Amino acid sequence: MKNSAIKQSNPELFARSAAYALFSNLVSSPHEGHILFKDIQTVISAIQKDLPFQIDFDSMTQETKAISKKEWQKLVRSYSGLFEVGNDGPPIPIRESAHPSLTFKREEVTRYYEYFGYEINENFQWESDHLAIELEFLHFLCQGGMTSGDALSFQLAQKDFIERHINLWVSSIIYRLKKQTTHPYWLSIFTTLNDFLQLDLKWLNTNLDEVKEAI
Amino acid sequence: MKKIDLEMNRIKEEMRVDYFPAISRRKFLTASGLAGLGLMLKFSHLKAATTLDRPYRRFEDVMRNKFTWDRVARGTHGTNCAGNCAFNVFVKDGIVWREEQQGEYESTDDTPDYGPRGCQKGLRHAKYMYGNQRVLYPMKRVGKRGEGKWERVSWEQALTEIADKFIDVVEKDGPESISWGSGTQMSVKIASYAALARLVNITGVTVPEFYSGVGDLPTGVYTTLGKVYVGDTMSAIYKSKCVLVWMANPAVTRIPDAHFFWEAKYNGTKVISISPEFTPTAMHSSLWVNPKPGTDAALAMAMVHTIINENLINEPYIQEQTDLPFLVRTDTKKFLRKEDTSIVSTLAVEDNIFYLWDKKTNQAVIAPGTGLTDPPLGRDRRKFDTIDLGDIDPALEGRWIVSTLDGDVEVTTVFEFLKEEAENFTPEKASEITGVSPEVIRQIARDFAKAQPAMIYSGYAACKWIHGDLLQRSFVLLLSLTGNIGPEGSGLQISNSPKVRGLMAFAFNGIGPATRMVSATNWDYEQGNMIELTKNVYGKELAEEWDGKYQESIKEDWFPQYGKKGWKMGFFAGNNGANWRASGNKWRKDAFETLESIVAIVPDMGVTSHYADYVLPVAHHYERADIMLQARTPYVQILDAAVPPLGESKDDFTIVHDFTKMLSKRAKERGMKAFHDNVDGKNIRRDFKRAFDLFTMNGKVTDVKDVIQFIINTTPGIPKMSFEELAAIGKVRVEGSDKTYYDKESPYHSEIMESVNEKRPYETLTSRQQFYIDHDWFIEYGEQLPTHKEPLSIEGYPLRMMMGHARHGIHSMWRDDPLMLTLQRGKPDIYVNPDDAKARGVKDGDNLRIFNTGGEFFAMAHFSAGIQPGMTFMYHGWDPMMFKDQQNFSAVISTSGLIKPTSMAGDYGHLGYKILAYAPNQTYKDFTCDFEKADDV
Repeated sequence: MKNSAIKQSNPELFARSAAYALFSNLVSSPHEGHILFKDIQTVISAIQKDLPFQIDFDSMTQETKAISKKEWQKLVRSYSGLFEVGNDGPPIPIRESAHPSLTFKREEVTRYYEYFGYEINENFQWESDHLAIELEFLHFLCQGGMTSGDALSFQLAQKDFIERHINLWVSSIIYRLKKQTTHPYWLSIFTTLNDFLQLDLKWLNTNLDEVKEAI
Repeated sequence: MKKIDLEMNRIKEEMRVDYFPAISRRKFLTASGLAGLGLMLKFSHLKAATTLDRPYRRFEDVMRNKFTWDRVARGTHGTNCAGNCAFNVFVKDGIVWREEQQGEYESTDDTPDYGPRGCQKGLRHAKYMYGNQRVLYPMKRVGKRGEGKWERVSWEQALTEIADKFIDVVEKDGPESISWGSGTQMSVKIASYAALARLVNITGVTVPEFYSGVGDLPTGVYTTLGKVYVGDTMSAIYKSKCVLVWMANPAVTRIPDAHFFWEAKYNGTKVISISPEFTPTAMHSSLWVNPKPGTDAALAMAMVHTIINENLINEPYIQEQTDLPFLVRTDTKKFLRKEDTSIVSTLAVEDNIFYLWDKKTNQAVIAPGTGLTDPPLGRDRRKFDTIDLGDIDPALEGRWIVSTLDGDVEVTTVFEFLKEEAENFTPEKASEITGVSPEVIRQIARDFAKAQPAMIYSGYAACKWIHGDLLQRSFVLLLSLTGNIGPEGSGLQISNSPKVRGLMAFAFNGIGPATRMVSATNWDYEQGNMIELTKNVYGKELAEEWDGKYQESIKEDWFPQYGKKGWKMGFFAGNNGANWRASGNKWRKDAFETLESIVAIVPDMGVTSHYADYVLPVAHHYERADIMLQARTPYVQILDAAVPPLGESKDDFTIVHDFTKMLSKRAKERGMKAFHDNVDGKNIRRDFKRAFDLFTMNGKVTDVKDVIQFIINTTPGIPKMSFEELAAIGKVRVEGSDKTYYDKESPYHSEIMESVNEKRPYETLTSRQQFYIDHDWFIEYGEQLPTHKEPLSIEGYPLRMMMGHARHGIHSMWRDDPLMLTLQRGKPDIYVNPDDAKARGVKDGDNLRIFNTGGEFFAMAHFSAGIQPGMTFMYHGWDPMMFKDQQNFSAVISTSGLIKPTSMAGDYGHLGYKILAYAPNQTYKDFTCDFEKADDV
């Protein structure tokens, strides 16, 4: 099946998949490659109309419009100060197991990856539960749901993985971000991500009922 | 679509880092359809679709498969616990999931075996290494010092800026103005330490020596035996019939080896624990004796009194092995020397030829083995002389008149003086000092003397008292009087460091020794102007008197002066120096924070890195290759890198390697000229442009494994094999370890055994176990013999605070581990006597303010009836970052300015500045404090 055929046959799934890829990119370390803010609108334009639910990306895109390249460099530094370095570790841990109550969830994350064949490059294996990687895994599951012929398995896994993992700690990132004095760019991204996750979870629950009925 | 494709190409060009192999990325992007949107995935190399082995229906499905390992590596924890425990490290998908003790250890002779080895910290490390405390990227301070504001920078930027500052300081103030402190976290990893030793040898920066710097240097042992390293294997405990566990708590601090004590006990050995507080070791011992804090030497001297009084001494042993039969003039309290008797000898400065009184001939005779000059370079005098008495039968008791250049003078023996000294500590008198019943004192003295063999197992705590040298001298005296230095199962089991010849060989190879190593205690005293602290806390009189001796020692050239040039730049590698300084805030304020530049090279954040300008991330124990030698077990242990270093961390070798490379690069770019540097009178030419070529031996050394192999190849006692062979088995037994003490072939061998067994002279002034020190300062302070002196107190503060190593951490490592904290009270706590607490209106669990003239800190009250009234106890290692106001117990430990005069004595045979052997300890015990209930925090 060609790309266009995938998109045409299942534009909703494609848009969801692309959205997870976008969020994965946005929350990853800009020190290791990052989509630039001015391209966000391009991507969003391409996917928003096909998403199976309405979501407001405006706050995220508005925050990015006025940012110059020079300011972007400050944002890169602020990412480190928020998520990567600090006296007691980063002020806002961006790895699941770095949240004290979730330390022992890492094995399950790895088991999910292994079960579905998601393999991480060697450089990033140590941070396999980084939010960006977990979001990329969701993107991967979306892709699998479109192409594997076993949509139910992949969509059930999406639902479970969001509920059992990402959903448990993204809200705490937002909570901690609100306590920090930092550029609203980061808050807008995580707030939009959280909104997206809730809407997608709702859609998954509804859609899964339909898929189960179809089976 | 075309427009979007063009946009994608533009975005690709703007991407700064390209992480995927082009082919796999293209395949995936094509399949996913994301290429059209310009989205670049970074983390995986994956197939577009997967065929599942079985359908997924619920989360339990992912748990059904067996969790398998990609690799099981050999490793250990390169920390200074002396455990050297071999572990298997289980790896899957680049993550260490768990570790397990490697159990295949042998035994020595008929003693229990050494394995399995490990403790809860080691078995927790697979989780700790991924904790929030890890430093994962090079960090540069962006706020004020200590404000906690950082930015991530590249290694290139960090090393460039650090190298430039390094060159700036060297050009302006010389390399001695830079200190590169290496703590035990690094120095026990031999290859890492060798790399650093080579760097500091090339550059000439100052290396503060932390053996004495943390109060671990057994100067009392050295004073008596001429050697610091005297310990045997842990299995020697099983051979002993009576073990005094004194100033040690092995049930807590020697978890992998504590079984030897209990196995010995069940085999009939009497294990007597001597400590003011009821320790976990005391709990399991045959008998617990609890002297008041700081009175241990009085107890030891009372035991000496009993042993002498009840004639439990081993006379032939002390006649031959000790200076107790040596003659001393009663008029001057000085040894009778040959220069006393002959003008020729005076001219020849024969001040090290001593006399015995021979009972057979009834005259003074020269003691065999004395009169030796210092050994010529490369020649060991112990190999060509003897202390064998031959036909001499030395008297231990008596007074005689001898003819000297001063006329007839009375002489007696050291033993006679010892008897007089011991009379000051009869069991009854000692009981008043120690609180221990006279009968108990007599009983343990008898048990100890009659058991053959008997040993004293001691930690480093004695060294942390101002008069700890006297206590250690009394330990050795107890052993020696009863003939208990030498036989298997005897001796003072306190310390033994490996002789890793390959380490220094690597450091000096092709360069020669050009290292500037200094006593950290003296360095701190001068850099931090610690005399002011002593004046403030202990009074002007004491401060000025002791400082007078300090200055006199420097004037006499007995000890070097470190205060000529200020300290401008500090590196901290493998140590948490701002944690343990015994000076409250003074060291941090006056010596540390005044530095122009601070670089911390650490795996985990702590107070030292908190105040740094740059923090460089170091690989943790399972992310690096190295080799470890710890003498308590007869093994060499390997660290093999189970996984790559986390984040952007690097192993110590690589950091030193990369820094040296940058140093040379910047030296060339800046046109830095070679310069001459004077180290201990030796003129050294240093050229930083060549530093990297020198460091790598012109490109021969590129990896830490090259260093490990160099060390294996060049260190006697390590079986010769490749790193890979050693990594495959994890550990290997050293040569010369068939007995419970080490033979000459072993890298852990102690030369004391040759003195005892082969009658070779000791490396002391008298060539004997030397209990009598007739240096003027020792006589002035009444310390020519082992004795007891009251510890120092702070006026107005009634409680003595004791400390010890913790069960749930090794120094400050693992102290902040969440799981370890759940096994304790979750935050720093201080043990207090319930009656003392009630008198102050304090309940268990209250927040306490602990204070004295030096400062204050806060901790939770932990009631314990095992704590004597008048004392408190706190396990050490809690990082200041875990306390209110970032102030830990150091706030009340105000002893950094106490430099004991006799510890600076010199021009006396083996006494005088000798790095890693004779230097003042930084002490931690001679203070008092008080506590009160504080508001909850």
